[in-house]
Amino acid sequence: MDYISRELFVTVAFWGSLLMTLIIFSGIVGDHALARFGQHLLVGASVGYLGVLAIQHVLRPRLITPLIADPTGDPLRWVPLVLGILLIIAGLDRSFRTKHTHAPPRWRRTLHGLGRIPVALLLAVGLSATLFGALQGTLFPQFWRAAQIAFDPNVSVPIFLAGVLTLLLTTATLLYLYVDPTRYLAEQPTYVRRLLVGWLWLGQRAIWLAAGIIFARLMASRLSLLIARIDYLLLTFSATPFWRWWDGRLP
Amino acid sequence: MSITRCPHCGTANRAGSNFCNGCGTDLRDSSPPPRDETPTPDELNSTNPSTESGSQPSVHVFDTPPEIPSNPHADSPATEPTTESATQQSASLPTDSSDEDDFADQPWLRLEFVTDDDEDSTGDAEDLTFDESGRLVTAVQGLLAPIRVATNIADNAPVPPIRAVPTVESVNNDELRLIRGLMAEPPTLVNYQVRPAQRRPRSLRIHWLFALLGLAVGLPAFLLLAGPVGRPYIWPGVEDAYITIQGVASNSLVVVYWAYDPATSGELNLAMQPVMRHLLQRRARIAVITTIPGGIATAERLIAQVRADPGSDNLSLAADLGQPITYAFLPGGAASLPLFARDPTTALLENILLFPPEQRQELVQRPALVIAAAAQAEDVQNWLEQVQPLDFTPVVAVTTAGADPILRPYLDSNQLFGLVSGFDGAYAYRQLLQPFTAPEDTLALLRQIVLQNWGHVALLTAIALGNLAALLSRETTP
Repeated sequence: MDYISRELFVTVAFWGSLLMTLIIFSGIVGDHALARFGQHLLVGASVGYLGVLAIQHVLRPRLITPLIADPTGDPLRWVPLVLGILLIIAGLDRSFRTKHTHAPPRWRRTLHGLGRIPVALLLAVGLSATLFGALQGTLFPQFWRAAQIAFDPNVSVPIFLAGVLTLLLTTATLLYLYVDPTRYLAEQPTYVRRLLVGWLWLGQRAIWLAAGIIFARLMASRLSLLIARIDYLLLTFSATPFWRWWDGRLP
Repeated sequence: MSITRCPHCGTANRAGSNFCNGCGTDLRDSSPPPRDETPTPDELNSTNPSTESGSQPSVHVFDTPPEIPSNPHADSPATEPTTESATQQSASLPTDSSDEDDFADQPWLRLEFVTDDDEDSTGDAEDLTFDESGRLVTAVQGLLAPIRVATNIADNAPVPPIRAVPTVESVNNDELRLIRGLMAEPPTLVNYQVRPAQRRPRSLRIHWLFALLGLAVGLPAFLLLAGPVGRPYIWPGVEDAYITIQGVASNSLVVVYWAYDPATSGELNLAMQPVMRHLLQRRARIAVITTIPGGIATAERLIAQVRADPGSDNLSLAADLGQPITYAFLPGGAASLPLFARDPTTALLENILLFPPEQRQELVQRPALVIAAAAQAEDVQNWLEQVQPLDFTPVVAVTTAGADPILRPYLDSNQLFGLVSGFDGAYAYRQLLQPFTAPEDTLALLRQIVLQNWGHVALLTAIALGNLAALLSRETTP
C-alpha cells in the first residue's frame, strides 16, 4: 500500500509540476488565460502558505494563546492585536466597498483613518531601519575602506590604482547621472567643458560596463534555474512508472 | 483698457500714471479729474470734437473696452486703427512756440519727430500702431533714447479685442487633470531636431529569443550531451569562505540566515550543498533562521539531502553525532533583524519551535559565524546593515550569480569574509572540498556546466545575429 501510494504521489507530482511548469513558461509567447491562471495559483499558494505559517507559528503561540491564558498579564500584547484588527477591518472595507456616488459615511471615514495607523507604523519602522542600516552598514564602512586605501602609505600599487580607478568611475558615474551637459556645460570655459565632457563620457561607459556585468551574471543565474528545472523534471520522469514501462519496452 | 490722456501733449498713458510718457507732464495735477466712461458705438464712430477743435484735450478713462465685432459700423474708415486717425490726432496736438522751446533739447519727445531709422524703414505707419506684444510703449523708456508711443489711441479709436479666456466651468474634469499634469513638470527644452523615422523600428523578437534559449538548454538535456565542458572561472572570495568555515571550532554555533525559497533553490542549492556539507563536517551547531515563509521547508529539504548523500567523509555518521539543527522563523521581515542583533539568544529562544523550552537554553549561544544564504543581494545587505554592525560576527555570503556584482564591494571592504555565488562558485567550492563530495553532486554540477555552455552559445549567437542585422540594415547619413 505504501509502495502504491508513493508511486501515485510521484506520478501525480511529476505530471502536476510538468503541467504547471509549461503553463508558467507559456507566458513567454504572450499573455493568455492559462498563464494568468498559473501565476494566480502560484501567488495564491504562496500567500496561503504564508497565512498558515503566520497563524501557526506567530499569532497563535505568541499572541492568542498568551492573551487567552492571562489577559491582564502583559497589557502590551493587546496593542498588536488591536492594530492588526484595525488593519484587517480597513482592508476588508476597502476590498468590498462599491463605488460611492456620494461621500462615505463618517464612521467609514473614521475606520479608514484608524486603519492608517498600523500602516504608518509599519512604514515608519521599516524606513527608519533601512535608512539607519544603510548608513551604518554600507555608507560608512565603504567610505572608511576607501579612505584607508587612499591614505595608507604602505598600500600596494595595484590596490592604490584600483582605489583611484574606483574613485574616478564613481565620480564619473555620479556626474553622468546628475549633470545635463546641454544645460550646464554650454557657458563653461573651454577647458572645463572638455574635462567634464570626458568625465561624463567615462561615466557613461562605466554604467554600460556595470549593466553588462550585471546582465551577464543575471543571465547565468536564470540559466541555472532553467537547467535545474529541466533536470528536476527529467530525473522525476525517470522515476515514474510510465518511464519504467517505456524503458522496459526498449531493447 | 483704461488710459489717461495727457492734457499737455495728448499722449495716451496708462491709467493711474503719475507722469506723461510723452512730455513728462505731471498727470496728478491735471484737471478736471478723470471720469469713467464707456463709449457707445455712436461715440466710437464719431471723432472727438474737443480734439477736432484743437482745444485742450480732456482725460478719458476707458474701463470697459468696446467690442469691435458687435459694432455695426466697424468697417467705417473712422473707426479703423489706420494712419489717418493718427495723423489727425498728431495734427490736433498743440504746437505753440513755448512747446517748441521745451522740446528744443529733446526733439524726440515730440510726437511728430521722425528719426532717420523711421524714414528708412518701410511701413512706418504700421509701426505707429500696436506692436506685437500689445504694449503701448516700446523701446527703452526715458530720455536717453527716442521712445515710440502708440499714438493711434484716440477716444474714438477701437481697442483691440481681448481674446476670450475659457472659464473654468467650461472645462471638464479630464481636461483640468490634463492641464494640471502638464503644468506639474517644468517644460523640457528640446535642443535637438528629431528626424522622422524613415522606416518602422524593428521589433525585438523576444519570443524567438526565449525559444532559442529554451531549445539550446532543453535539447542537450534531453539528449544527455556530455559536452562542451569547460572550467568555470574561480572568483575571489570562494577560498576565503572555505578558510573561514574551516576555522569554525567544533560545537560552536553557526547561524544560517536562510533567505531563499523553492523559487530560487534550483540555483542556490548548488552552492549551499557543499557549504552545508562543510559545516556538518566541522560538527558545528547549526541554527537556521529565516524571515520568509518557505525558508524552513527549503532548509530542511536541503540538509536532509546532504545528510543522505554518501560521501567519502562518511558525513551521515558525523551528522548524527553532531548537535541537532534548530530552525527559527523570525516574523516581521528585515525589520526583525535589529532585534536579533541586539539579543540573538532571546530571539532564537523565542522562535525555536522544534524543541521544548527546557532544552532551548542549551542550544543557543553566541554565534561564531553567520552564513547568509540569499537569492537577492538585498537580503545579504540587510544582514550586513542591520546585524553585523552590532554583533561583529563574521559573515559568509552564499548567493546567486545575479547578486554577485552588487555584493562584491562588501567583500573588498572586509565586511564579508567570503562569497560563494552561482554555479561557478559552487564548482570552485566543490573543488576545495573535493575529497569529500558525493559523486552524484559532482555529476549534477557537470551537467549544469554543460548546459550553461550551451545556453551561453545560444545567447552569444543571438547577440551576434542581432548586431549583424542592425549593421546590415542601418541607415546611412547623407
